[in-house]
Amino acid sequence: MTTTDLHAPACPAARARRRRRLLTALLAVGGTTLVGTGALASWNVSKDAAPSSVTAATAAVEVLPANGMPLTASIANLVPGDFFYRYVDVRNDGSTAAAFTGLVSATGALAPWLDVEVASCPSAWSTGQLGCAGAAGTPVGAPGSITAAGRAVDHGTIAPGAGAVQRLRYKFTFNGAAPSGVQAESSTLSIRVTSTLVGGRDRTNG
Amino acid sequence: MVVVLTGLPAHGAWQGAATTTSTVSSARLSAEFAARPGVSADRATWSTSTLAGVLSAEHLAVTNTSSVPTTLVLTLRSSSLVSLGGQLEACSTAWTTTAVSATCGGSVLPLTSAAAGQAWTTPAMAPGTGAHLRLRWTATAVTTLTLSAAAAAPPGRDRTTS
Repeated sequence: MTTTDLHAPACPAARARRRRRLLTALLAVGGTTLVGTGALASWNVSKDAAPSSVTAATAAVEVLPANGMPLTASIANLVPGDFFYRYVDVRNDGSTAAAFTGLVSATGALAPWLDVEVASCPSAWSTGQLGCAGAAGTPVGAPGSITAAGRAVDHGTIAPGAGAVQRLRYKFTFNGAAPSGVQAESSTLSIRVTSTLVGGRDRTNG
Repeated sequence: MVVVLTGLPAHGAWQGAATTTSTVSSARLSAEFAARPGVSADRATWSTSTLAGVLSAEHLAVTNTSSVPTTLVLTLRSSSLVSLGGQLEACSTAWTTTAVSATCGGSVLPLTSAAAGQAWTTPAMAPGTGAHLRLRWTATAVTTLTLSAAAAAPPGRDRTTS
């Protein structure tokens, strides 16, 4: 059996190999240290810009009855030529001005025979055809038949808040040419107002 | 494949909406004769054959079966051109008839004297009410008389509050 004493003095060749290994290890450690610390010290200074906050907008709309006329009141026994007014305040409950569109629709057999005419008034409406301070108000969209698809109404842009409500009057007329075939029919009338916010603007200055 | 979408906004749109609804319904307009010989199945007409040169009388009840108060239009037509020389009377109650006379217990409304092809209009009647008609004539020739009843559409009005 042969044993080797590791602590015994080695032969010259073995000592040379050991020195080369030690030198290689020292060079590797030294090189790593140079790469990680840089050759020169760096000085860093930082400062935060004044803080600013951004918030997302909200889109909301409220349709309010005006002139004491309940919007949900039903009307029975319409005969050709009958008409009725509904007064509505459209309020932008969102956080910013928005584009408003509307859709007046009706279900059932009466839809083609119900005409609608929308007008706005800068002040509160009073009753009657000339209910806008003695005038008929400003037309909002073109009057015409509701039809089965509904009649679109462009309300334009409305600023937020109670002070900027759009005061509207809807005049519904049961067309005088309605045929006798639509006697004793019912329809559900709907007034829908939608506010739309579309982004993509340069908001640099607010 | 390249798909080009047009009409779509470049940015998402946020929307808020509010809706209000109400129900509207149309009226029914109709008038009916009470069932009796000569009245059609739909009760809209009554017909009879006349004799020449004989004073004749018929009593008919007509009702406003509309859903609204309205006037009734009674139209008398003849199958041939004759002179009737008669009149139509409306009584608010049923006529009391004897062999020689007819009496109205209520008020009589002489609608008009008429020749064939004439229309009468009653006063406005509430739904479900009517009139008792007494038609008298003397025809100059044999003919078929037809009396039709129809509810007249009342004029359109402002229904904002009612």
